[in-house]
Amino acid sequence: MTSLLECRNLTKRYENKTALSDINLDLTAGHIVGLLGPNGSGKTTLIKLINGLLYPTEGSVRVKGHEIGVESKRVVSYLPDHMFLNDNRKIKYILSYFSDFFEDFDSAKAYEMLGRLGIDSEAKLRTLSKGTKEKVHLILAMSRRAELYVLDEPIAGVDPAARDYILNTILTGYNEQATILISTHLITDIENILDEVIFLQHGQIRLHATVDEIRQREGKSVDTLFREVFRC
Amino acid sequence: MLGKVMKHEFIDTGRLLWPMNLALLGCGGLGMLVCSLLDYREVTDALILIAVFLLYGLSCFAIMITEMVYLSVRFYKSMFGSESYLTHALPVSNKVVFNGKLLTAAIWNFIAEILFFGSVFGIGFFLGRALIGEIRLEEVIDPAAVTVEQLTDIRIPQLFFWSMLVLLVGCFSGYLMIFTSMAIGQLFEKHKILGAVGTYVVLYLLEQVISTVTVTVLTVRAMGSYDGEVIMTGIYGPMMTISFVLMLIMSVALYVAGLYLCDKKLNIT
Repeated sequence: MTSLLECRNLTKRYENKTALSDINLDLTAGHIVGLLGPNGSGKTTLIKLINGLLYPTEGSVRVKGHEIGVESKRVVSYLPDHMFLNDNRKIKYILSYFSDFFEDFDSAKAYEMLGRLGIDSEAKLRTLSKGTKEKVHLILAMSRRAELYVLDEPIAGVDPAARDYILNTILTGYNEQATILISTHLITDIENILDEVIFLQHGQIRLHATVDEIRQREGKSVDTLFREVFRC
Repeated sequence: MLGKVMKHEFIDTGRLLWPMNLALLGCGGLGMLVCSLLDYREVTDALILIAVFLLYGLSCFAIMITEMVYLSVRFYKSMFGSESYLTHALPVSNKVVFNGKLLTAAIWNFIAEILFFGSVFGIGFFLGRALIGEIRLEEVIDPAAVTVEQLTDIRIPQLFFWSMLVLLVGCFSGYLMIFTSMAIGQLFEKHKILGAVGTYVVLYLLEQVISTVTVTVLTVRAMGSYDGEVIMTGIYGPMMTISFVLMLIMSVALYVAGLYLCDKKLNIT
């Protein structure tokens, strides 16, 4: 099966720190993949490299065979780990902005999701609570018919009820032919939806396996294995 | 895609910049109105005129500086700040994004400059009319044209063309220096904003040094002649050409550097 995401000898160094070291990774279509690791393990760096926010020091990243650029960004839907929208904008304007730039953006779906949550599209973003803003960001990312969704810590810092909503939105909102790469350290909350996991430690891949393989081989849940591997 | 980038840039920046440019227009209009209504032989009217001129000058300065700061902050936020996460996730090349932002800033700058110079010309015209009565433009322009031609060896239509060209390139070069300084600032691991400010200061000083050296060399060369008229022509004519060429070279260098850094060395940490 051809790779949707392909990292070859990917290394990212900052002045005096190696954030990622010699990463080789292949992800194929149709899976939900957990990118797991403690803080500072390189999850966000890897995600930023996939989205072209950083340039690699060595090695390469390809999405559907394309180097990171216009073609790769057409098929990747990215949810960063913090707010990235202009607070002074109305939600309606933001939706039209997404429609303008992303051919795969489904406005009707976005409006429907907003409606279900009772979020007024005429409202300016700055008038919304932090939790509602996060939902708007998620709705924008999940309203695209992308081939690779890259979600950086989508459930960090939200209450358990909102977590359920977010996970439900991810599960019901994505195209099953697509792959979701979801970064988190809240494993118990997402373990049940994952097909594969990648453990990152000190900028290197410690483990890349399917959840079934882990359960059969180790006889443990992903959460338990994670706690053992990353015990302080 | 460039059209889409520019469309949204204009929507984003227009909310503040349209009112500011209208304010600039209003300042000019007010200046012209005051010039045409007051009687300068009256001391009170003359004092009002001085106050209005001061206010006009300060307002124009404040508006143009605010526009520049606003466009620079917007560029930083959307290229390297929190909004950059969306900007760089768009299926648009970084070159197109850079060009779209630069073109938008240059167009706003051009509009502000045209409004400013238009209002200065308008105020000058109304002031002249109030001081020396009805003015026939030829009476002012013709002697001015002769003087300019003697000084620079350039005719008025050519001078107008040159001025517009300099104004146009100047609209780009000012923002290119700011934007590229910000892109260079991103290469610093820490204190990126301070790095950008430092880079801007260095680039600005470099530009000033190059211009000063060029003008000095030209002046010294021209001083070799004993004829006063030749001295002036020897300085101003080539000085305009060389200043323009220097500005053009500097702009191209800054453009290439800015584009390269934003495209190949992006580091949103």
